Order: sequence, then C-alpha cells, then structure tokens
Amino acid sequence: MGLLHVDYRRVTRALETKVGLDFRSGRERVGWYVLEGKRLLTVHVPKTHRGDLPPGTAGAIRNDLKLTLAEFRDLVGCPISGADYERIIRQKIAEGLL
Amino acid sequence: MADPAKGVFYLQGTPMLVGMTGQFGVAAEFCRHLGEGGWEAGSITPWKTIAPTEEMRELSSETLDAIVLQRGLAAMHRRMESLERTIATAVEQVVTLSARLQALEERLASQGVTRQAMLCDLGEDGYNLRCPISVVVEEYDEETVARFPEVEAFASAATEGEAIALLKKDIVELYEELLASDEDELGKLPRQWRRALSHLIQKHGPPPR
Repeated sequence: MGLLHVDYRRVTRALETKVGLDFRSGRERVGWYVLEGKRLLTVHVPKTHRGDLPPGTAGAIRNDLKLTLAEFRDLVGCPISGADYERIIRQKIAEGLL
Repeated sequence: MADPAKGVFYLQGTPMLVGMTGQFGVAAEFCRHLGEGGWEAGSITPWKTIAPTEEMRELSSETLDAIVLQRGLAAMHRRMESLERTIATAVEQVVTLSARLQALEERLASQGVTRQAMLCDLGEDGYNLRCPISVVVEEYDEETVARFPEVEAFASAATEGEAIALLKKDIVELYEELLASDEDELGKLPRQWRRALSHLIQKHGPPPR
C-alpha cells in the first residue's frame, strides 16, 4: 500500500460525517473544525475528484487535520470515529499545540 | 586415505577401490592418473604412509575412464546443487529488492519534488506584502501544490503558476476571514495566523481613479 493512496469519496465522507467541518465561511472549499465554539483549524477540501486523491492534496488534508499517517488512514477507514478525532484534538490542546 | 584393515581405498573421503592391502599400489597409480587429470598430488601422500607395500598393477583404461567419468559426474552434480542454492538465494534477494524498490518509488511519488518560491505580491488590489514571503512548491506526477506553512494556506493545481495564484487567493481569504472573526472564537493556531498575516499584509483602499 502506498503512503497516501486514499479514495476521494471516502475522505470527503469522513470529513463530513466524522469531523463535521463548518463550511460557513467565505473561503471556497475550506472548512473549519470548531470545538466548544472556537475555530481550531482549517481543512482544505478538494474539488470533485475521481478515484484516489493526488498525494500532495491527501498529505495537505492530513496535515490540516493534525493527524499522523496511521491516524489519517484510520479516520478515512473505519477505526477512528468522530469522538476519537475530538479526543485527539483535545489531547493536542492539552499539550498546547492547538 | 587407505584403510588396510578393510581393504578400501579412500580418495578425499570417498571410497574408490576395494581389495587386498597389496592392491593399493593400483590405487597409487590411479591417483597418479587422476593427478594428471587435475587432482591434487597431495591426496596420494596419506596413502603412502599407511600402505607400505606397493604392488603396481595395471588397471584397464576403460575402468580408469569409467571411474574418472563417475567422479566427474559426481562433482558436476555437487556443483549443480551448489548453483541451484545460489540461484534460489539470488531469486529471494531479487524479490526482496523488488519490493523495497516499489516502496521507494511509492514514497518518492508521495513526496514529490519540493522547492522554495518567493512571493512579492498577493495578486489582489488593496493588499500589499510588507516583505516577500517564502512558500513551498511541491511537484507531483498529477498535481502541483503550493503551501505557506506558517498560516497553513494551501492550493493545488495542474501547474506551478496556477497553484501559486490560488495560494495567494487562499492567503487573502484567510486574512479577511481572520480579521472578521472575534478573538474569542479563534483557537490558538488561528490567532497565530492572524498575527502573522497582520505583520505581513498591508491592507489599503482601492487606488484613486
């Protein structure tokens, strides 16, 4: 398996259903991750795409989400739920990273 | 080596001839015959120390040829087995190397070719950069990515020029959005982005007509 071979539809589905990005901003294709009323980070969601995302875009989304490669794969796959993702972000807040 | 008790003549650990002790003289001749064919002369020496009596007898040339042929075939068989083991090891190594090469190719394809580029302008009326900013450009097979890591601005397009143009747009939009946001509703990172962009960007009204 390649480093970041992820299907576009699975990524966008994970961003919508698990991460729950807020797209009420003026920026096209950029969503905010909001926790307890605070905008914590932005995620650049690509335009409609078929098949796997290009590696640069996939890497940027992973970076936006502040996830490791393994965590990102798990988020796009099944193991990481929305609550799990929130736990990861809360941990980073506790560490002073966000 | 010769074994007088059993009457067997060994050559390099292999039983070669069977007979009475006195017949080992024949073996000596045989060894000399093989020596001409390439055997080490030293292999006769142990025999001489064990078999004191030499009765030289002639072996027929057909017998000698058959023995030499048998030895040759046995040696060839051993070499074939050794060669097969070597080939099997080589095949295993090629398979391993092939897998590693594929992984490296995938890693290279995923990383892209990275370089720096300087932006002197944001490409939008009303926004000036106080100083040039360094952005990262990454080229992949299918896309070119431009990033300004300090504020996590990002753009992807087919060419470098398009990616940089989109990145400038992303930076301006992020700046405007952060300016319009209350401090309280921004997390730690967005507050840092707003501070950084406020240092870098000078906003002014439209130019006089």
